[in-house]
Parts: sequence; structure tokens; C-alpha cells
Amino acid sequence: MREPTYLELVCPAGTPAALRAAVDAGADTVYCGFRDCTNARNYPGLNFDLKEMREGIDYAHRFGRRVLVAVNTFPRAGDVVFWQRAVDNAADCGADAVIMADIGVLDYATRRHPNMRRHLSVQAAASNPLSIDFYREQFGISRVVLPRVLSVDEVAAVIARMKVEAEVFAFGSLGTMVEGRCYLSSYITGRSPSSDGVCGPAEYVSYREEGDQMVSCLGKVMMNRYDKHENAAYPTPCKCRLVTNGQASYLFEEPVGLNAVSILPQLKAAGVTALKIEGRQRSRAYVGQVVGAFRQVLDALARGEPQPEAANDLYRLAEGGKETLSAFKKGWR
Amino acid sequence: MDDADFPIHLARGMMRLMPPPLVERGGAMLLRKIGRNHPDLFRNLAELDAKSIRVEPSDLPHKFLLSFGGGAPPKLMLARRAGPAGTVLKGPLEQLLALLEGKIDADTLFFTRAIAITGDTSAVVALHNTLDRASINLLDEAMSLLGPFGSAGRAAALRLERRMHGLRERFGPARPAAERRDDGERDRLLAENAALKTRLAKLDVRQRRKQGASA
Repeated sequence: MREPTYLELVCPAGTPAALRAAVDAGADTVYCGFRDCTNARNYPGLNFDLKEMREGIDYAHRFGRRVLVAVNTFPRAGDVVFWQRAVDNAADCGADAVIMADIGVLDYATRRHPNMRRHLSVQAAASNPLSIDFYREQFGISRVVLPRVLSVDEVAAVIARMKVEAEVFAFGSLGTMVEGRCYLSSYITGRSPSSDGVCGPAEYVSYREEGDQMVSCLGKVMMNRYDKHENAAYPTPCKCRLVTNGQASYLFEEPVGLNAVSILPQLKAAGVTALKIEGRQRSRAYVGQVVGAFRQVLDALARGEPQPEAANDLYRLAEGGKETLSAFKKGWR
Repeated sequence: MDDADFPIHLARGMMRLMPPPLVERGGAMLLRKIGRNHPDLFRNLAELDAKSIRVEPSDLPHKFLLSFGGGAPPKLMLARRAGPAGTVLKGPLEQLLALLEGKIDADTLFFTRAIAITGDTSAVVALHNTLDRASINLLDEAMSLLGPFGSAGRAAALRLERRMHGLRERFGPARPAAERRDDGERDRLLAENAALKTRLAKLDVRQRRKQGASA
């Protein structure tokens, strides 16, 4: 396998074409999921069947890159077969690691496939050394994807006291601050990211024009109203615009995208091993553009050169057309 | 312009001039050709739930109805002949074709409001995700319709496209009515802004005078 330069670049792929785009654009590692409820991006037309997964992993391995398979939703009561089969299939396809969140699924993978690397998904919301140590001791995880709730100093403090690799999000849409425990959308649609892999299921999402404005709805609930020239966002309950005291605002989360490109040296100094790009639901054009830009920046940093401007325009791809450092630079507690 | 890029100015110009039945026939032929060259794409589309999308290129006089899923091959027809669709996708022809070829990110176009989707979003999400798996080059597909004359057709199309592009650069594009309306709105807002600034300045002066008088 190719050794990552500076930091390992872990990139999303919702389709085989996106996987190839990620590898071609310089990803060190690609993560993807099967076409069912076992991964957190279960949208129509997205994800991999067995044949596609096998071919995708072969393609990545030919270029010395790794493929991680996300089996990171939580099994429903009495319905664990999908998750067990996904873990078995990932092992069978030659995945370099499986990303999991549920302790039952982790336990199954540990017992059935002890030699396969196991990563702890962000969905597990393990954000302190005690919790991460528990997963390492019980399930032998090699890496944890840290939740997007920690500042850079906190990331450094957690890494200093844990014995596994740390992966942090560097780019893409942000979720609620209680990752893996969000059931907001299930109150409206009956489906949630935690168990069904969908936040705003597409069949519940609708838009309509009202004069110059655009209105977005999830089911029958209005999520947002955009003025003519205002950037739009996904109609997810955590990013809906709420009216309180007669004032419309984003009470939970603003629709902005994370972009940590400006603090990569700090993240490296904090002990981070890998950077994760979010966006398996996005197109191969997005994957190629974001991965290519991060590749240029990482290579420049590895050579000790000033950061190139490649990533300056990435805000155009962000939800709402705006970007943030989010919790990495949080001024709240 | 790259030699693999679809000649958008030429295509738009031709489609504006062509009678609707000819546009419909051409679109259907192109779709059939894509199906023959990308059987996996058609198989994936057939596996989706049956949906139809009304596609409205904002710079063309034609509107299309694209039906897919439910085990059947996709169909493209002029919307005037078909019933209502559950989903409407609107945007400039260039952006819609770039989406079809996977050259541009759909979410970004949607966030920036370059394209608009109304109605049932799942149809567009499913279609986009399925198209994004395939690597379609529309120019190759269109030229393969010409059989042995494909190479000559490609050269002629690209030559014409460059010419049209040059003319457009030189004389400026014919601007759509919506854009002209935007200009009007911008001018109105600028004028209003200037008036407000003047008024604020006057109020400021009046306030200072009052303060001066009371001091």
C-alpha cells in the first residue's frame, strides 16, 4: 500500500464511479457502503452491490490505496441479519477495514473476522479516552473517527491518552452535535440516520416555489423558506429555520460546510492520523474536486511549501455555500 | 473548449430552431443509443421505482418528460404530449447536460439555486445517483448516431461550436428575460439604497444641528 504523505486522506464514494474518481484524484483511502440500511448514506441509486464492491476494492488496490467499508448504522430489534451479512461481505470482498458503531456489530466482526481491521465510526460518538479505550480493549479497534464536537486542543488531549489512530472530519456537511444518537427525522418520517441510514429520506423531501421564494419540506413539515438569491440547503430537521419570538433563525445548526484546510498543520501536531472528507451522497464531480484540492494541499505541506490556493474555492461546494471550522475553533462550551 | 465537450451553443441553437416533433425524435434516438452503449445504466434505471420528471431547460422553448424505472427502459418525450409529472427539474440546458455527463456536482447547483427542483425529490436523487455511476460523453453518443460519418460530423460540430462561441464572446449573449428582470430589480434596489443613504445623511445633519443648538 502507498504510504500517505503528511496525513492520510480518507475520501467518500457513493458509487463505483466516485470511487475511481477519488483514487484518480489522489485519495489514500476510500470509504463506501453496501446498497442497504447498514450504512449511514442509504439513498436511492447510491452505494455498492457485492460485484461493484469487489471491483472497486480491486481498482483501489491496483493503485496501492485502501478501501474501508462502512457498516455503521445500528441494527433494529430482531433484524440483525443485514448487518451481519454486510460485515461478512466486506471481509469476503477484501476490504482493508470495516467502520462500525454498534457494539453488537463490533462484537460480531471481532469474533467472526478477527484479522480484519476494525474502525470505530463517528456514529459511536466516542469522544473521550475512557470510551475509546473500552472499544479498543473489547473489540480491538485500530482507529476511531472522532465526533465533530472537539476543538483542536481537545483532539490533542484525547489523542495523547488513547492507543489507537485518530481520524477527524476535514470537509463536508455537518451533523448535529450528538452524533449517532439523532432521531430527529424519525419523528417526521419514521426513519433516522442511526437505524436507517437516512436523515432526510428523499421520498419525504419536497420543494415548491412561492412567488420569488422557495419552500422546502420534510414530509408535511416546512423546514425552510429561501429568498430568491439565498443559497439553499438540505431540508434536515437540525438545520431547519425556526421562528421564535417572531424571528426566523437557525436554532440548532446553520447550513454551512466544514472546511479544516486552514488548520491541517495544527491537526497534524495534535496527533491526527487521517482526514475524512464527508459526502458519499455527493457526485463524483464533488469527490474529484475536493479530493484533488486536498491532495495538492497535503503534498505541498509535506514538502514544506506554502499552502496552495487549490482549496480556496471549495466553499462553493459547501451546503449553504458557506464554510466553517465548527467545533475545531469553538468559542462555546 | 475541449474536443470532448458537448457543443452546447450549437445544440441550443439547433433545438431552438427545430420543430418540436424533430426535437422529440432526436432525443429519443439519442436515448436509445445511450442505452445500447451503456446497458448497465439502463438496467440500473429499470431497477428504480417508476418515476417521471418534467425537465424544463430555461433557455429552450421545449419541455421534456423523462420516465424511468418500474422495470421499463427510460423514455423521453415532449412534455406537451404527456400528463403531469410529480417532479419538475428546471435549469439552463448547459447545466442539465453537465449533470447528465456527471461533470458537475448536483448538490452544488442546487445549493446555489442554479437548478430548481419542485415536487417529489426522490425521483431526481435516484436518477442523479444512477446517472453518476455511468460515464456518458454526450458528444460521442450523438456522433455515433451518424455511423461512418461520425468523425466528419464531430469535426464540423466542433468547428461550428467554436465559431458560435467566438461570436457570442464578441457580441455578447442574448440575455434571457429573467436576467433582464434581475437587472431591473438590482437597479431599483441600488436607487433605493442611494435614497436611504441620502435620507440618513440628512437625518444625521439634522441631529447634529439639534445637538449644536441645545449645547
